[in-house]
This record gives sequence, structure tokens and C-alpha cells, in this order.
Amino acid sequence: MMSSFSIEIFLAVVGVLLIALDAFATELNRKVVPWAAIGATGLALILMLTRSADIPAWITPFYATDSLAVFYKVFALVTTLIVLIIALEGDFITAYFSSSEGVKTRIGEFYALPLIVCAGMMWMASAKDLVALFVPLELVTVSFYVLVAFTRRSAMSLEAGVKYLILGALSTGVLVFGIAWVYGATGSLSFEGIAAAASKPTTNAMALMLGAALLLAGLGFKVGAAPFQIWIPDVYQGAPTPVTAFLSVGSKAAGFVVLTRAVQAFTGDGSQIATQVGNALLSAAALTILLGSLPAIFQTNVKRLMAYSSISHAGFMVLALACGATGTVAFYMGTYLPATLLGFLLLVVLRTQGVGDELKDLAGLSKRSPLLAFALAVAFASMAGLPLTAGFMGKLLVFMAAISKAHYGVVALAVVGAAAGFYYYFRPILTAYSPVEGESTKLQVSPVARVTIAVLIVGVVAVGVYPKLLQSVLK
Amino acid sequence: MITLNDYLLVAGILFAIGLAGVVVRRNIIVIYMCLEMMLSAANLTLVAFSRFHLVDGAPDYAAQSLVFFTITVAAAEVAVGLAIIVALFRAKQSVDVESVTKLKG
Amino acid sequence: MTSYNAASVVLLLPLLSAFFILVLGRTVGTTVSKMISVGSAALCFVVSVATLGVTNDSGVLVSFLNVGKLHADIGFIIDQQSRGMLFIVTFIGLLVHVYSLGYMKEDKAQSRYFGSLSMFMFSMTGIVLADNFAMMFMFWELVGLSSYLLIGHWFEKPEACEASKKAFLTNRIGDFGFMIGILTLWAASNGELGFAQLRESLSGGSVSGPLHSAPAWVLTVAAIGIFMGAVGKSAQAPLHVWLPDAMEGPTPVSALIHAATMVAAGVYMLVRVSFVIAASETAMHLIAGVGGFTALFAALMAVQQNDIKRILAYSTLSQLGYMVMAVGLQAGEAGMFHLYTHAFFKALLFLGSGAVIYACHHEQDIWKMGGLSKKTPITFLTFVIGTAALMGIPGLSGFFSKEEILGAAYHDCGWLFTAAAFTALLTSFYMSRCVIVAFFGKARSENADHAHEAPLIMTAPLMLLSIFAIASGYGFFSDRLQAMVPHAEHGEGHYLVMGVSIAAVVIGAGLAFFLYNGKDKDPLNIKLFANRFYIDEIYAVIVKVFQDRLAWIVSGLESIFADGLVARLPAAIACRVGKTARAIQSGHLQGYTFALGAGLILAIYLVVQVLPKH
Repeated sequence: MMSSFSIEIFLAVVGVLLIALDAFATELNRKVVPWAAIGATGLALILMLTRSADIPAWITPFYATDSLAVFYKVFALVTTLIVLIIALEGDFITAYFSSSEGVKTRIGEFYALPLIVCAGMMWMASAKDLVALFVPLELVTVSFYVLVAFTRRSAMSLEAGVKYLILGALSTGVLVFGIAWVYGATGSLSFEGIAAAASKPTTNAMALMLGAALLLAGLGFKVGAAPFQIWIPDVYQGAPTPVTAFLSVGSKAAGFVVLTRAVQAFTGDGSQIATQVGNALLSAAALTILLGSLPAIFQTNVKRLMAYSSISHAGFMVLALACGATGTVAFYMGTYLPATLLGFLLLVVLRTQGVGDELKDLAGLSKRSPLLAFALAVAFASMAGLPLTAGFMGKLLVFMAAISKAHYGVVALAVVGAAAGFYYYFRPILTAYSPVEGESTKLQVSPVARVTIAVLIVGVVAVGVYPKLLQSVLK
Repeated sequence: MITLNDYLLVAGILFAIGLAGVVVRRNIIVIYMCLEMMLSAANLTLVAFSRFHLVDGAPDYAAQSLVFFTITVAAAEVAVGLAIIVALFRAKQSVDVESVTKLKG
Repeated sequence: MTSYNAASVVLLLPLLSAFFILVLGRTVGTTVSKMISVGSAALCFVVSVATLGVTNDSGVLVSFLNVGKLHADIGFIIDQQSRGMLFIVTFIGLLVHVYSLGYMKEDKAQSRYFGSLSMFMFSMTGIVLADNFAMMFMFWELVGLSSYLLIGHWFEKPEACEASKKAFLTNRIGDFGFMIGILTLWAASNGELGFAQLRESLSGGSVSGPLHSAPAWVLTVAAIGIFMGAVGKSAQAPLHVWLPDAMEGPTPVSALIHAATMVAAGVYMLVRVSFVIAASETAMHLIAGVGGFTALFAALMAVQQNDIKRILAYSTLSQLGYMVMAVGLQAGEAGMFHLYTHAFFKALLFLGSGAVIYACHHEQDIWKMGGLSKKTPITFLTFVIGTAALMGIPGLSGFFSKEEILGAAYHDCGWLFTAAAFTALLTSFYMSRCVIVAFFGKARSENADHAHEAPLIMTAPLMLLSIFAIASGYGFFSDRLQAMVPHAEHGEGHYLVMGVSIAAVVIGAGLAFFLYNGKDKDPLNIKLFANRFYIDEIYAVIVKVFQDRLAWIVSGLESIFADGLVARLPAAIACRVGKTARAIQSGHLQGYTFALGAGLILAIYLVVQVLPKH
């Protein structure tokens, strides 16, 4: 029995040890790094599910262990575990693109860093004040700078790394400036204190609003909410696919948990700025959904398509957040995980078989591998929100939340976005199932990938058919 | 007598200069320096607010502790960032923003 | 067996069958898959016959979802409406399963076909039994999916692929409206989705429920939204475009899904929730108008078709229009009655057309048939019976139900009555044309010349259905099958309505006979024919000039409004916006930092200055 705090320490320590192992061990011993990382994450997940509720008293002022925190901690662990499996699937591609000409470089960090990122994301889920929010957030962001640019021999990865670095650092500056102003206006760094000060008439509302706007803009960047979504397509497309998966699920979820806590603080009972923050979120949600869905119509690269798709999903979650439905945000995130990770896992598996990530490369997939084609159909159907898949339940709950708050205008725009989604999500499926001329080679899928694909498909369908499954986890 | 507003004004100007630099400069190193300037502006704001926010007659040091974290984070960011920029220079022989425009659309 | 258990069996058996075929279909082979699918259909039929006599019941099978105020259950409502519908679905379903054994004998993917059929049976049963909107919507989507799978069964044909896509997407437009309607009701009733609870909330019986006190426009939005769902599924104008194309699917599927059951689901659902619709005068007028318009509009188009299945498809549209119009006129029972008779004779016609197509080696153009009455006597006879029932020849089932709808229109609205009566005339005209051209005269192609009767496994369902097509209108049948029959006393004008409908049949059939009898010869003969009989020329002028023009204008309007305004314009706007947004994604880092900076300033400006403060 370990407390969730000790589990995070454990992950970070294992991460550092693995980096050291990779640096100093022999070639043979380095082979254990990926498996050690997967094992440590799996162990942490088991420990997390059987954790003890006790945490040291000294951290309680800035460390929350409520249901929201626990949900996102488990979420981070599951995501990391699957991302590590995806990374292992695409191991030789990563190795190829990160080595110099003719020299095989070691890539152990590629497996060790996710552990540290995971610890950071778990800390973020517990953040009760702005310091506890900022430090792990930066731990995650800086680690991601490394991961995005990891395959530096690929021009794409390098370009994505540079773009993410500049734009990410810019958002960090904005975030800290926002934190400063929120602190200045409320005299407190804890969310509780901020919420209390926001409802006091003596608080300078203008200064608080300025701070809130900057802070939300900084966090909006992390989750990819419009108008700060602009980095997502380029970075997601250029980054190594396992990292893209990690960014789009893990980093986004961690962003949403802190965004949830910040918004709760700003829109608490009697808050002076609740209406403005709510309206800003609503506008951002509508804009995000449209700016995610509509450009996606023209995409011919599946990875980039999924980047736009992730923007549109973020829009739906911001919409739920604007309606005060924090449970729905978590639920939507839970439906988003299996479908998205499944999609990226497929891209990696295809890539190892020499199939690129352009739309046209998918042609005839159903002949070459019925399993992969079916998995692709499930993943994209869920992202589109087809009934009986997890994605449908997520969208349904968001629509219900918005309608119960009578935000009909935004709902109408969201419907447009969802309808456009049906167009662009079904294109890969139709391509995969369209008949092609001539003979084509069968694709090989490794046993590990097979099992993971099966588990994720079952996850998508199970939540879609019986959503109580995910709800019970949320409680 | 220097008031809180003076500090905030300076910090605000610093932040604006930094943001403008990020937007208009083309050399990635310079852009990176401008980003550091924005962080410094934020730190200055934090310290100023902290110094003028009196709890029982003494300044509130909670926010000043955040400044140390920010500085540390900035250092880490520079370490990683410069490594990436060096990798970029080795690949492209240039640190101009126009050398990274392949991903688009 | 209680009716509740029976309902569970009917719902779950096809699901098990579909699941089994999906998982093990390849392993066990085609024959076993076929047997399982047909067997489950047969068992369902037996069980649903057994439930015909039971009392009303309701119950919850699984509590499905429970978030906040949202409670969704899989629950059943067993009353006259659902029992009657269940019989139709399982009976025609069984016949189509059996018929498919013959029709699809040569097909390569029979496992998939029968699996999809079972899937459809499951989804359709769910719609019939649903006791709340959440379940209704779920199964609503599922029938859409199974219909998609079945239309696209021959996905190697690009037309079939396109048609399945079109059906699916068009239905989605309606479904979004449906969802908004449901959610509006849910929000306005403070979290109710069950039909019974909503009815209570609306009537304000014991306690004045929230729906009772909801503003009129909310109920109108809800009713119109729900109607949108029916517009999509029952292919009403302007979303009717998918149904004729859906004929690319195998013919038995057209009979089951696109004639008898699924397309009628919209009408069934509207009758099920007629209490919501009755609350909004505007919605009722809209529904009646759309229904009447579709009936007339589709009948006009049917006159122009040459593909036997397309004639039937347009005829289905037109008949569905009748039913929807009846719902809008608050004569839901008349609509359900027509749904019930129509299911039998339209399934008969489609299966008959399948037999014709089978006989003529997959020829579908009626002008390349001819003379089939002698070569395929059983198909011919049963087809004529179906046609007569559809035309509404007195004594056959269609006559009774159509007359009820005409009567309702007569009492309510002169315009609709005129349109409906004219539609009846057109129906009689185009169906007679179809029979005359396809079955009489000489064979006009080699395929038709070598036509041969279909095997017994296909003709047996035809014969069985023709009994229903003749007799289902009589109380002896309809009462036993729990059909909903309007029992209101016929008021004044009853004889006028009857007279008009008989006159429409006679005039339509007469016109068709004069125009098309003998048109199987060379075009030269037509000239000669026309010159000899002056009266023919007048008819020809009327039809060619007047009807052709009208049909031409109608089809022009269709391409402008249905295709243009409903589908293309929003798509074009979306594409435009998408392209613009894409242009921002220029790949230039400076552009991005600029956009971020501008976004930041915009965000601050909005939050601090513009957005309402309280």
C-alpha cells in the first residue's frame, strides 16, 4: 500500500534511474530499458488502484486527492502505459531517425522520459495552488520539448520541435504573467483563496480579469483551445507518432484537469468574474470546434487529420467546462483516450510495415489486414461519435450539458462541427474498405500490438454500449 | 517613492517588448531571448505584488518562492531549447524562422 | 410466458444471431449462418404471434446510463401499437429471410448479408418496443447503420457504395434534428425521457408538470425536431433523396427495410409520441403539409421512372407521405392502419419485382421486359394483386386504409384532400403503366424472352403476402393482428370521399391503359396510333406537356432546394470557412506567434471589455 504521492516519486525516480542506466550500461542491458519502463508503469498502475488514502500531512495544503485527481492520475498511468507500448512498436523507426549517419544511438531516454512526464501529469491532477500547477506543468512541457524533437534526423520532427519550443515557451510566459496578476488581485496562490477573494467586493475585478484572461490563455494553449490551437497541427504531424499520441491524450488531459480547477476557482459562488469567464469559455469552445473540424475537411494526411480532430475534441470539452459539467469533461476525456490511442497505434503499426500516413496509403487496408482495418473503423467511428461507440456517449453528454444551460447558439455550431466530423472521419474508413486493383501483401501485426488493439477496441465498444462502466470509475 | 504601479508599469513594458520581439524578430536565438524577457517581466510582477502585499506587516513570501521556481524552469527551458536550436542549426545551417516552414496546411 | 419475457426474446435473439455470425460466421460457414439467421427470425415470428393476445405491459430490461438528470433505460412498452408493429416486422422479416435464401443463392458474402439482416431485425425490434426517447434514438441509429450495411452489400459496385453513403448521411441530418428535439423535451421536462412520464408531464394530470407549463415555442421546437427524425428515416421531402438510390441494395432488403418496416419507423415513432405533436398547432400543420407535399411530389416523379424498383421506391415515398399527412391531421390511427396494409402489399410488390428481376436475369428496365404474364404466371398474379391493393381497388386492403386518410384530409383541409386525391389518381396511373409495360405485350429483350418462373422458395412468400394484401383490411384480419384501425363513425361526406377515391383509381388506370397499352411496339407505331385516335393525342399532350413539365419543374425544385439549399449551401460555407482557417496554418513560425499574440489581446479585450458583466 503506497500513497499516490509515493507512487509519483517512485515513477520519477525510476525515470531518472533508467536515464542513468541507458547512459552507463552495456548494449545488452540497454535492451531492458523499454521493458523496465513498461513494467514500472504497470506496477505503478496496480499500486495506484490499490493505493492507501493516507498522504503526508505537510503536502495537503497544495495536494488534492479528490475523485477528480484520482481519475486523472489513473488516466495518466493508462495513457503512459499504452504510449510506451506504441513507442516499443515503433522502436526501430525512432532509433533510425534519431541516430547520426551509420551510428546507432541509444534511445533509452525515449522510454524513460514518459515516466517523468507521467509523474508530472499526476502531480498536476492534484494541484491545489498555482505553484503546484506551474511546476509540474513545466516539467511536462520541457520533457515534451525533448520528446517532440527526439527524432532529430527527421526534418519534420526537428521543425515540430522548434515550433513547439517557441510557442510553448511563449505560452509559459503568458501563464506566469497571468499567475502574477491573479496573485496580485487576490493576494493568494491557492485556488481556494482565489475563489474566496473573487467573490469579495473589495477585490479589484479588472486586475483579476486581466490575470484570469492571461492564465486561461496560457492553459488554453496547453489544451489546444482556440485561438491558441494554432501550434497543434504542425507539432502533432511532425512529432514522432508515439509522442503525438502522448501529447494529444496525456498532455491534453493534464491541461484539462488544471484548467478545470482554475475555472472552478474563477467561477465559484458569487465570483465577480464568473459570467465573463463563462462567456469567454463558450466563445472559445465554439471557435475551437469550428477551427478544428472545418479545416480537417481538406486534410489528406491522417496524422494531421487526427491533430485537427483533437482540436475539435478539445472544443467539446471546453464546452462542457463552460457549462460547469466537470464530470462530463472527465467522461469525454475517458471516451477520447481509447479511440485516439488506437488511431495512433494503428499509424505506428502501419508505419513499421512501410505504410505511410497519407490517406491514399490506406487504400486496400481491409484486404491487407482485416484486423487493422476494423480497428481503424472503430477508432474513427468513435471519434466521429457514432452510436454504440464511446465517442457518441461523450458527445451526447456534452450536448446535454449545453442544452440544459440553454446555450443553443453554441450547440448549433457544435452540431455543424460534429456533422463535418462525419465527413472527414469516414474518409479514412471508406478508403481502407474501398477495393483496390491487383494483389497486395498481407501486413504483419505483432502479438503485443494485437493484444493492445483488441483491448482498446473492447474499451471503445464497452463504454459505448455500457457507459456506466466509465461512470463508475469516475465516482 | 517607488509605488507598486511603477513596478507593474515597468513589468508591463518589459512583457510587451518581449512579446513584440517574439512576433517581429526572425532569428530564433533572439526570439528565445525575448521569451526569457517575458518570463522576467512576469517575475518582476510577482515580486512586486509579493513585496507590497503585506500579511501581518511583513511581505508575503509565498509568491516569491514561485519566482525561484520560475527561474529554475526558465533555466531548464534554455538548456533544452538551445540544444534543439543547435540541432536545427546543424541540420539547416540557419537559425532563421523561415527555415522551418515545411509543416503547414 | 409473460409478454415482458417475450419482448426480451424477440429483441435479443436477432442480436445473438448477428453476434454469432459476426464472430463465428467465417468458421462455421455460410450454411450454418443462414440457418441461424433464418431460425432466429422464425422464432421471433412465433413469439410475436404468441404475444398478439397478451395484455399490455411495460418494464425495464437494463438501466443503461445514469448521469445527473439523464436516465436512459432499455425498457419495453407492450401495447396494441407495438404488438401490431412487431407482427409486421417479424412476419415480413421472416418472409424476406426465406425469400433471400433463394434470391441470394449465388452471392459470395451470404454470411455477411444474413448477419446484417439479423442486426436489422434487432434494431427494428428495439424501435418498436422502446419506451423512452433515449432507447428509441439508439436503435434509430442502429437501423441506420444496418441499412447502410445492407444497401452497400454489393460494395464493389460504386453506385451501391455511393447510395449507402448518401442514405447514411441524409439520415444523419434528420437525426441531428431528432436529437435536438429529444434534448429540448428532456430539458423542458426537467429530465424526463420516458414516453409515459413525458405524457404525464405534458398533460399536467395530478401534478402540473414542467412540460405543461413550458412556453409554446419550446414544444414547437421539440415537435419539429422530432419530426425531423421522421423526415430523415421516412424519407419525406426534402430529405427523400436517399430512398430511390437505396434501391441499389439487394431487392429483399428493399422490400423489408425500404418499403415495409424501417422507412415506416418514422410514422410509427410519430404516432407513438403523437401527444407531443398534438401540443403544437404549428408542428401539426407543418407535418401535414410536408406529408401531403411528399405524397404528390413523389407520385409525379414515379410517373417518369423506367426502373421497376425505382417506380416502387417513389411509390413508397408517396405512400409514406400519406401516412405522415395522416399524423399531421391528428389521424394517427389512420396512418398506422395504412402503414400496416402498406407493409404487406409493398413488401409483396418489391419481392414480386425481385422475382421479375431474377426471371429476367437482373434486368430492371420495364421497357426491356414485356410479355411476362405468360412466362411467370405466379409472379404476375401476385404482382397484380399487390398493384391493385396499392391503387386502392375497392375490396382490397389498400382501399380501406387510403380511404381513411382521404377522409381525414377531407374533414380537415380542402387543399390536402385535393392533393391526396390527385395522388391517388397518379398512383393508379403509374402502377397500371408498370404492370402493362412489364407484363403485357411482347418481350422486348432477349432476357425477357428467356424469362422463367422463380423457384418455390421465392414464390411462396409472394403467395402468402398476396393473401394479406387482399384481406388485411377487413376487421377479421386486422383485429386479430392487433392493427390500429380507426373506429370513428364515418361522418358526412363519407360517400363523396369513397366516390372520389374510386374515381381516381378508374381514371388513373384508364389513362394508363390508353397510353401504354400497345406502346411495346416501335416508335413508328406510336405515331400511327396517335394519329388514329384523336383522344390519345389529347391525353398525350396533357401528359407530355402538363405532367412532364410539372414533373420537370418539381425535379428542378428538388435540385435547387433539397440538393442546393439543404445540402450544398451549408457544405459550401463550411468548406469556405475551413479553407480560410487552413490558410492561417501557413507553417510560418512568425505567423503563429503573431496569431497567438493577437489571440491573447483578443482574449483580454473580450474578457475585460466586451462580454456582459453580469
